[in-house]
Amino acid sequence: MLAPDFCDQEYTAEVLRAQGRTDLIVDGIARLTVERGVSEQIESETPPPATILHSFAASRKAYHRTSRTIEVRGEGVVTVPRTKTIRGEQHFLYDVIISQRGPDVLVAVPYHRLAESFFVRIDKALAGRRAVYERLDITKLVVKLGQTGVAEVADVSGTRKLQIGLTRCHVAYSDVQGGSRDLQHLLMSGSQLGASDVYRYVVAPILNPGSYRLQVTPILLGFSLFVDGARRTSAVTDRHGNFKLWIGPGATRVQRLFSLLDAIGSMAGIISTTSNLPILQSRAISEAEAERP
Amino acid sequence: MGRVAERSATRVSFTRYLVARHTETDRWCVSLSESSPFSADEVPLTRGVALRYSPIFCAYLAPDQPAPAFPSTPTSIAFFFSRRPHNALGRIRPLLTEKERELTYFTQGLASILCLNCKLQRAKDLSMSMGNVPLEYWPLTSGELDPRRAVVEVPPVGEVPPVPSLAMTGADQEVLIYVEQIKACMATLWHSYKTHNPEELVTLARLTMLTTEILKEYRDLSQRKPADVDCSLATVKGKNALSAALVELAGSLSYAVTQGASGSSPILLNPSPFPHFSLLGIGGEVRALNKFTRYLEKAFSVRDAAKVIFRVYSDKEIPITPNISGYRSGKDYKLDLASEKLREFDRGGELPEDDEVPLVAYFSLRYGFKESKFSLTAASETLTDEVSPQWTLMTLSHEIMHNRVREIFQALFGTDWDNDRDPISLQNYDAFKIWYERGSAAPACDLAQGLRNAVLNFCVAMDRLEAKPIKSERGSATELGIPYGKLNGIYGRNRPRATELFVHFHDYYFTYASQPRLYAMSLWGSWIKVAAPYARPTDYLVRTLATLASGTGLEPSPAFEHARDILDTALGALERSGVSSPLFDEIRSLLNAEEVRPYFYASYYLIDQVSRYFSSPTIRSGIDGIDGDPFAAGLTLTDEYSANVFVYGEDDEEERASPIRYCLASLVKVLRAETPIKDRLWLTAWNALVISSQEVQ
Repeated sequence: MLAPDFCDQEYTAEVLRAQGRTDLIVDGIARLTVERGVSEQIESETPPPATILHSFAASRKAYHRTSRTIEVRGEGVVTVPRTKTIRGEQHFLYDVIISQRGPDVLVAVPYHRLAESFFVRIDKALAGRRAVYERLDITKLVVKLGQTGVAEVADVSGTRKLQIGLTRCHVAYSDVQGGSRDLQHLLMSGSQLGASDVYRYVVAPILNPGSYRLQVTPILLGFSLFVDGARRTSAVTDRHGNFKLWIGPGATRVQRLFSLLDAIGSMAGIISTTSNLPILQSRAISEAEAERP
Repeated sequence: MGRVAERSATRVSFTRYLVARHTETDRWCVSLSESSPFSADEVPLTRGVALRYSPIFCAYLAPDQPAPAFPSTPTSIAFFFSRRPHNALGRIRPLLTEKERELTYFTQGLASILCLNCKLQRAKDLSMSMGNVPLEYWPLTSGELDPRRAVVEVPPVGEVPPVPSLAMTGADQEVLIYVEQIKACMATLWHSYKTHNPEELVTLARLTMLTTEILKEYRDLSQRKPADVDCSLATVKGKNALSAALVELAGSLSYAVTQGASGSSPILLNPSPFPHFSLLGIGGEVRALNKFTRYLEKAFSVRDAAKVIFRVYSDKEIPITPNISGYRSGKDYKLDLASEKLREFDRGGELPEDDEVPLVAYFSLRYGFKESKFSLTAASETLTDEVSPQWTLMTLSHEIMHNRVREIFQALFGTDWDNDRDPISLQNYDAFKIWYERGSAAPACDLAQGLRNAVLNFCVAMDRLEAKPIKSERGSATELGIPYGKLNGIYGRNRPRATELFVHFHDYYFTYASQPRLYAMSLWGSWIKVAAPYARPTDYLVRTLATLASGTGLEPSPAFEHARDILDTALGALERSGVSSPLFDEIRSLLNAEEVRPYFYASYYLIDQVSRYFSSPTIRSGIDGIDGDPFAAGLTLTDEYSANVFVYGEDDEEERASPIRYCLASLVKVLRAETPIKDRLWLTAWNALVISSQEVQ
């Protein structure tokens, strides 16, 4: 069972899409880690099945503020981050979650700063393997979700009611014609933004850009998957392909994240790929926090 | 594989030099080095060998990583002639292994990307992945190239119309040589552009039309039978002006050929005239110049200044005060951009330019940043140090604005395309005199006349300030006291000052998006390398202050204080970023000198009129728009612009970065010492790579 050391905080993640053998991608990433666990197959709500691998990134640099203790099944009380001496030097061990389903590979690590260095190493290790990064066109997503901020998506099983809803919206204002910078940014968060009148007002210039002097551009979105009205999982993303999400104990949330991406992918034109490493364009998301589902 | 140079963790340069030396066996010895062949004391040319070289730049960098190792004697080189190299690098990135990435470079030439040590088939595959771009492949044996073994693959170009015809029949013998030169340049450029720069074919077609027009006028003048001496003089003058235009066209097109078309395939047969870029040329840099220029030209083409003046301002009565000493500015002059959608210049319906002639852009060591009627030059230093405030491409915008302002002056004072320097007409003199002497009691005049009056009023005021020791000629406080002939002289002397105020406002408002501190820093950062500000510091100071004060709507004295504070802060910021000059101390002392104020007041009066009647949110939105800018990500602030050296172009057709915004962001990063790497030549080439890859048309 997946039991990350840092499951009390959000993880920074990227989703890679492989054009060849996905197992080589997973293997390439895993080679950069230590204390590698055993790859587990997790039950998936929709096929294909997913696998998950819990491992650790070893770092001489500390990304945490303080060490603390947690109780781990079978290990007792453990101080995290764990440490390991490698080539005579003490290294801190931070969780690396690698999950694969179909052509998609999700990699998640705690601490944005760690992601900034570790994802660059991954990118280097995967060079030549035709791996690209998935990203969401968040402007199109806002448009598809409309003023209500909610859209129904198709359920493969046909037995449930699936909905995508917005939980966080960070928009930038620009007065292109007037050049005014009276209002620059606006951040809204909640369990269902579409239920608020304010949200409708905020996104109106995105939905009907020709009718407004101000240009409003979403730069960060938080969205959730609702199954029969109950929130199942959520994530935050910017327009470059950086994600923030919670990974609790057990693989459920990772598996649900794939369901969330499936649901978004069922809306045409939202998911695209880029060869640029998202973490290198991460100004807006670096300080963002993912919602606890 | 060749010998791998020793890797050094402290290496900070990401620039390498590709060197080709001609051997006695008619082969070329090709090598890579960390420094230019001329950086050593011993100059290889003295040995009598032909040598060509160009800087090349590591294409794929990662944060905090040292420069990759490079083979000093490569086994092969594949040159890719991508027109959008920034995007091509993005396309092939996932396909390249880590080793291949380390051996991939970009250049400033038409062969914009090169890969070392790759097999021919691999090169062909990469060429296809880049979008089937032309490829030249050099197989090397022990670092030697037998040119006969080089492989050149140029994919067929789609349907391209033939070179536009330029009839030479009937052309006067005197101008025939220029016409022939223009035709030859057109043919060479047409051939090169259809492969390497197809967007510029339109420019060539328009220049051909212009040449035909000039020739026709020249022929008409030649056939005219002058009635008297005056008429005969006017004819000669007209013919001289027309032949000067042909000379300028021929000259600038020659530069376009030597700079823009050299470095094409086969590379060794098309050397560049720039010795330090002799192998690959600067075709990519010239393409960047063109993209920058076309971007601004396109934005301005939505409102034709001459049409606005002739059709709208000539039909509109808005009084302008002749009283400079009593001028107060006020809310009508405040650029309250948030509350006002359209300005005077935007009113009167759609008035697009329909016969604009694109400027021919090239680099010049001699002229530096300069603009003339048909061409535009950027300082050659921009090729190696564009990231410094002194040589930033942003300076080019000032020169482009000169072209726009020439159109305005031509519409206000001229009669046809070359008469903007003609004396003011008697009719305009009379109108000015009445307006000047009667003030608000003068008969109402249209806004075009009002603007003419304001310019002349400024010229008179400046002339009187210059002639301070001499007693005023005015008979009374309200009398002009200047005869027609003398006014022409005053206008001639002070017209450049008036022009500069127009230009500065346009540059500040349209290009710099009215960011006063950044504008002041950019101006004075570049002026420390120019002789004129040292010779005439007051002039340069006054035009800066007037620009910074424009659009504030403040009364002159507070406006002066406002501008002075901004300039003082800007100079301090420049010094903190390492840009300093004794000129700054001189400027600071002048900021407190009382004699500067009268010049400022006259300048403020004029620039306020420019600001009120030539500001245009319609044009500005086209320049500063962020709709499709992939680096803007919806952010309006320059420091949040996401363009960085680790990000490559995307294939999204809707995404177009603004060269202006990109250059500004780059300049800001340099001024704040926030660039992730310190190799200035690399950063310079990178900026050109990004700008040259943008679709503008």
